[in-house]
Amino acid sequence: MSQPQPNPSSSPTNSEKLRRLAELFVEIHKTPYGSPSLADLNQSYNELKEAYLADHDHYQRLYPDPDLRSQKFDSFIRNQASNILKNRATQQGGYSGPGWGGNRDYLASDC
Amino acid sequence: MTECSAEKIDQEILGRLKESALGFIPKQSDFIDAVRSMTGCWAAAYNAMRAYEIDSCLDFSTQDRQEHLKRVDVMIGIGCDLLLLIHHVEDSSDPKVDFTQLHEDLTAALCALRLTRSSMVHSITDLELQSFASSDEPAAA
Repeated sequence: MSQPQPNPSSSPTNSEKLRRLAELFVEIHKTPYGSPSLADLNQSYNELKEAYLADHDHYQRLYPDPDLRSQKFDSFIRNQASNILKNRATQQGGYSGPGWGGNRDYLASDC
Repeated sequence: MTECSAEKIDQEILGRLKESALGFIPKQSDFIDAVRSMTGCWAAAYNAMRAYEIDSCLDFSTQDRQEHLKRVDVMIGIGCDLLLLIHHVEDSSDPKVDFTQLHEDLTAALCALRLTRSSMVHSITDLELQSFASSDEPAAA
């Protein structure tokens, strides 16, 4: 008997979109200079953010100024990203992100 | 593992980067080497700041947030100047340096830093957090 498959056409919920933005925010901060994925991560974040803000009228009523709206939203996502990192640190007994590891040796190596 | 503290960033890395930027033209005879060297120094500072942010779980006290915002502004300022310099030497025939790649890498890092700045320029209240987080509620008619 076949297992029920998730409907690929179902749109992610708002919570899932926010979670995705927070994870992208973490990835951007974990990605070292020169990584080819950094530009893609930036683009994905900005596109998802713009789409999300455009879909939510109450943000526009809350913050009519577009710059302030954008900054407040980024602050909110940073807060969510911080929670993700803290949860991972709790689960792992201390955070050690895969994006860093040996890259720490890169600090000031070219100065 | 290298510990990346705020003091290390300020004194050893950003301090060296600023010193290097101030003496940039007078001290360097080879302009292209100077641009490459400065970009490497900027990249090291960028990675140090990112390590510090991740170690801090992206959570700063009000004072730490203001201090880190200053670091981000220094990095954005020097990074924009570097981007202009790289743009000038991008057509250089020097085969040792892929300036187009340097330009792309620096542009991506600057974009990421602007996001950091945007997220830190204002604090967000608990009430605002609730307002954003309750976004699964249908918008009021």
